[in-house]
Formats: sequence, structure tokens, C-alpha cells
Amino acid sequence: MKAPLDTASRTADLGQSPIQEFSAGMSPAARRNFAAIDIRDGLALWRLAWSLGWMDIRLRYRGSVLGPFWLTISTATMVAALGLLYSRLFNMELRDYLPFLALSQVLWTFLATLVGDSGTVFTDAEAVIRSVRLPFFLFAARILVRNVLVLGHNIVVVAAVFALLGVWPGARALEILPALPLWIVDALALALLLGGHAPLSVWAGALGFSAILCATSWIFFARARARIAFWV
Amino acid sequence: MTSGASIAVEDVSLLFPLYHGNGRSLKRLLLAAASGRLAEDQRRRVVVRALSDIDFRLQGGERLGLIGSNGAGKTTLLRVLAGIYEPAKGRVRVEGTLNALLDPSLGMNHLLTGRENIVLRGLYAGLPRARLARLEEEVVAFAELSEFIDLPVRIYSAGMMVRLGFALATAIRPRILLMDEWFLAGDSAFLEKARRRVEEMVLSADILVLSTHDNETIRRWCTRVLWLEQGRIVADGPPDEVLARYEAATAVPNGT
Repeated sequence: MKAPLDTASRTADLGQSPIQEFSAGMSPAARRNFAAIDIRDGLALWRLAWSLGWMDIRLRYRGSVLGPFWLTISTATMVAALGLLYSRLFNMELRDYLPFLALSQVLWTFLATLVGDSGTVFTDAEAVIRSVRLPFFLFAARILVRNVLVLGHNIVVVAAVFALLGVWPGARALEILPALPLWIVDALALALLLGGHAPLSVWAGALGFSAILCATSWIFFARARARIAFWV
Repeated sequence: MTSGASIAVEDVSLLFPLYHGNGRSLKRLLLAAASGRLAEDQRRRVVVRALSDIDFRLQGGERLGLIGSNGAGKTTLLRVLAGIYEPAKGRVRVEGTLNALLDPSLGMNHLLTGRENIVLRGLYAGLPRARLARLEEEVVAFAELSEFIDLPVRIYSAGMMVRLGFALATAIRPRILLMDEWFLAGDSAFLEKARRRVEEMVLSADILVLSTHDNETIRRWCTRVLWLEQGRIVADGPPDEVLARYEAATAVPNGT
């Protein structure tokens, strides 16, 4: 049997702040403060969010040799089939149509799954929420990690289509670099709000929309955070 | 030991809103609004009063036993102390790291292997990376599952599940330990080793709050007893005194 740990390391075990106050029935200011602490603590637990999101994907494909690459394969099959069929049906040039289809299909899947998952973000974590105090932001981050990882597997198909057909979108493709973080922020706000999403079209519109989504999410989260444990 | 741990519960009442069942729904709300009965509908929200006017303070060194019949609010009070349920009225202030043993299979995923579950639990507890390796080593040593530790928990026997769950729950040592009675249930099934480990854990915590139906355990471990009935404190005092009243109140009249 292992020798017991010294007291110092025992008491340093849990990564919590030494003084915690759990009181609700609060003023709006106190509520906002609690919500801000929730988000801050949730960000600090990014390693756990990453592990949980990654675990979700690995478990889905556990026991299969190819693992998460089934995601890539199924998307590739779908894009190839739809591309061939629609280009024939609508009489379009495959070289023009396929890149468009591949990119739209992959991004749409990402958005649609994210919206669907957001609706069950807290109910899926019911057992954990009822047995330990954790930032609720963590569960939103978990869903984001999971969907971004799926997107990462699917985007391979888009890259392959572009490469195979020799299509290069040009320097404009670099615009996705600032757009992606914006999506990520929106996705987190979305998961906390359990709400909806709209496509990113114009930068001004996108920024404005993101601000509104984050603000709405913030208001509802600050208002409802303390009740989530009762609700799940 | 610098004993800075403390718990202050000030005038806490917990209303438990029942959101499901015939609680509220968007449809109901819209229908009510359309027919001008909104206010009436809001007042009809189903609420259970789980705790009423709970007020007590615990200092370092105190070991509190919670007693009372089923549904008296013992587990709910533990959840309030753990910060899971935030009371609508009153204040809860906790100083010191806290670990609540409320659910034996907390965060355990049956598809993951024993070893992966250990790491997951460590991450839930917010342990730093260096501490994770040590946690894994300790739990593996205590659970004694040999090669099963690298197989999915799904295929474990009931006894193996208990060993892993128990080793995990007791590996992380807090200043404040909240313990629900499942932990002591089925004493006979636990090895002597497990009993020693619980005692060691209880004694090394600065504050213990234990909910149980077993009065002997309370006499052995606790320095203070809180008797709850229907969410209210009936008595608060030294174990012998409160337990005597409790046993007199709950004794079967014909003496069997």
C-alpha cells in the first residue's frame, strides 16, 4: 500500500479558489458577476473541455479501425455522390460545382450540428451538473471542441476537392482566418443561449450579429445560470 | 495545521422549482398571454420548499452529522454546501477546498478504460498535469484491478466497479469533505482496507459533513449533529443529546 500523502499536498489538491460564496436570489449586478466568474473559470478548464470533446468523438468510433476518419469518408462519399448527381441534373460543370458543394456541405453540417447540440448542452451533462459544481461554460466549450474537431476531419474533403480539381480560391481565402474566431465566439454564445444562428455574409453584419448574439446570450445566461442545476 | 476552513450558512431557504411535469412551457405561456391570464399562470408555478431558514456555522475541526427521515433535505443541504444548488434566499460562504462525495460514479464513462477514467476525474477536479500522474498511480495501487485497469469499465464486475469508484473518490483529499450515505452503505462488501481509508480521509479533513441513517457512525465520527425534518432544523447540538431525542422520536411505540 502506498504511503499516505503529506497534508500540504492533500490540501493543495483541488484547484478551487479558497473562498467561495454560493448565494443567489441576487441583484442583477451579482448575477452578472457570477456569470462572469463562470466564464472565466470555464476558460481556465480548457484542458478538460478539450479532453471531453475529444473523448466524445473517440467514443463514437471506438472499436472501429478507421476511427474518426469515418467522418472524412462519409463526407467524401456524400459530396461525391451529390456532386455527380446534381451536376448532371442541373447541367452544371462539375469543376465549378463540386468545390462549391463541398465547402457548403461541410460548413452547413458544422452549423446544423452545432445548433442541434446546443439544445441539449446542459441536459446531456445532467449527472455531472448534479454532483459537482463546475462552470456551465465548460459544457458549452465541450460542444464547441467536439464540433470543431469534426469540422477538422471534414475540411480535409474540401481541401482534397480543391486540390484534385486544381481550383484555388485565391488570396480571398485568407479572409477565413479572422472569420473563424468569430464563428467560435458565436458558437460558444449559441451553446449558452440554446438559440439559433445565421450565415456569415458581410463583415459588418457578421460583427453586428455576433455582438447581438453574445449580448443576448450574456443576458440570458446571467439571468438563468443559477437555475440550470434545478432544471436539468 | 493552519485550520482556516469554515462554512457559514446564513438563513438559507431553497425553493425547488419543478420545471418539468406540468411546470411552465412556451405554449402554455403564449396561450395564457393570449387569454390574458399570464399573471395567474406565473403564480401557479409548481415549487417545492426543500429547505427553510437553515442557519449554522462550522469551524475547522467540526464534524457535522445530518440526520432525519427520507426527504428531510439532507442531500439537498449537501448539494447547497457544494454549490450545486444556489439558494434563492440567504447566503452560503465556504472557505477551503471542498470535495463532495454525492455520486459514486461521478463523471465515470463506461466506455473508457479504468485508467482513462482516472485521468478524466483528475481533470474534473482541476488537478495540474503533474498531479494527474500521481493520482493515476495511487488509484491503480489502491483499486488492485491488475490488467483490468486498461480495459473498458463496461466489462467490470460490480465488485470491481465499487473498488474503482471508491479509490477514485477517496484519492482527492479536500479540507472540507461532504459525504452522502452511499459511501458507507454495504459495509460488509467493503474490505477492511476501504474502511481504514474512509477513516483516514475523515480524520484528515478539517470539516466533515456527513449524511447518514446510521447513528453508530455519527457517534463514532461526529462532534455535532443537525436534525432536519421537512427542510427545517429540528435540533442542533452534541451527538448524544440530539441522537437521544431523535431515537426517542423515531422509536417504534410497542418497543420491538
